[in-house]
Amino acid sequence: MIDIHTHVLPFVDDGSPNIEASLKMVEAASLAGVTDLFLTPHFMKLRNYLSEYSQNKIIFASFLDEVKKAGVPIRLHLGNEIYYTITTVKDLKNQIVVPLGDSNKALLEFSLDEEDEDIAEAIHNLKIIGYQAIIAHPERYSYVKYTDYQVIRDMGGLIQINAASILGKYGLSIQKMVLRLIKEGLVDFVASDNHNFRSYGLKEAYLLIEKRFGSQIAKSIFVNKTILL
Amino acid sequence: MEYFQYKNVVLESPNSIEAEAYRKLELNIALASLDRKMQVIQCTSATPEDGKTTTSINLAAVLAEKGKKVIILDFDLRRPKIHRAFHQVNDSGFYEYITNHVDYHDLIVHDDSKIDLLLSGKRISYPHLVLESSLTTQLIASLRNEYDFIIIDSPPVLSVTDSVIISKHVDGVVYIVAYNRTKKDDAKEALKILRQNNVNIIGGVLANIDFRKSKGYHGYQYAYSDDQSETK
Repeated sequence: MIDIHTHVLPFVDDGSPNIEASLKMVEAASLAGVTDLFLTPHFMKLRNYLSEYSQNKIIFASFLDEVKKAGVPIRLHLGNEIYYTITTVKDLKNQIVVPLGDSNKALLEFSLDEEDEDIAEAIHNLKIIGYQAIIAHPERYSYVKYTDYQVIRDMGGLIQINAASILGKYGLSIQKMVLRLIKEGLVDFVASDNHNFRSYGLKEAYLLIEKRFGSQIAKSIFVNKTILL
Repeated sequence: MEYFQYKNVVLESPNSIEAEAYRKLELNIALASLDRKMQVIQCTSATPEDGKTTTSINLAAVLAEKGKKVIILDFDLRRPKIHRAFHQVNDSGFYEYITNHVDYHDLIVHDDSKIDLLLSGKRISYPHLVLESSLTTQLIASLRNEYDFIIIDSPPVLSVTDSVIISKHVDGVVYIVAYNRTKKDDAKEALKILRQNNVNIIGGVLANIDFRKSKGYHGYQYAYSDDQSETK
């Protein structure tokens, strides 16, 4: 599997507090069958997560050494989960934040309860400067209507949902909705959005989707290799 | 969250019937300018998605084609769209001029089409107050000295008061009605509001016509009427 959204990078946000915890998270992912793991620290002025790429890449490089030493068979990639604001375009241009790994796809998050930025506008603005937006867990944004998922696609955006949504951790209505989205082909990636090593639901979610929709659909959203191109 | 696409037929297919229809619109505005200078032109309509933005961008393209220096102001501050029509990033614009007093020259986007744009930038909380402000009056007064034509895209008349406020800054208003879309009562009501406010309506545009279905009209995108007879 490929996990495109995690908070494994230590010290920089509300995810891993230290290298030991990060190592445990990586080991758990590897054991679950993840071959490629993206480390996507928040960049969110609102909550004071301000670690820039210049700093993240230094932490990432030393963490890579630790993973190598520990002998965990997994490929790690650096990115960001960018809380979209009017300055995001400039932040991307100035490499304060970065897309996922070597791709041109940038993971964007938005307010959970208030539509203070328009998702379609964000996709448009990124597209103009050469990036494709991946919308992080839209199923968690209370104001996003079902019809909006098609708008995200029409605008050229991609959709990432959380494994926890599939497992019903955010409630039954969100679970039902994401299953419908998957059925209708409106999901591009399922990711863990993992903040700590205790719960890693990606494999469980994969098995649920495989059982329900078959392995072809499960693979297309849990092992979406377009992110590695 | 909305998906919309705009076609600038004057730029993309300059020899089409549709592009020709916009050239006729420009000619009619030129005729209307014989008595009174039409330098600042506002495009508006009764309801959303009637064709305001499409008319604004194509009218600007016809003027640019004739070698005129043109700027479009996106004053539909609640649902700005000009940046999407021109494939530009909307991360700075009118907001910075109003809030941070940035020199507007630094905010103007010079599009490859030779049309200049002042986009909306960050969302403004009270657009109607901002549009009424002296800063807006000063901006338009200064632009009059720098451009041959200033085209203003504005919100629908029946949705918000912004359009009537904008009309106080302009020389003339082009009123757009979408064929088979705008409700007759809405079109009449909006026209009434504009007239009550003594707005100088230079003409009406009947947008959204498919000439393959509507024989007798000479435009695909719209037909032009100088007396708004369709809306009476």
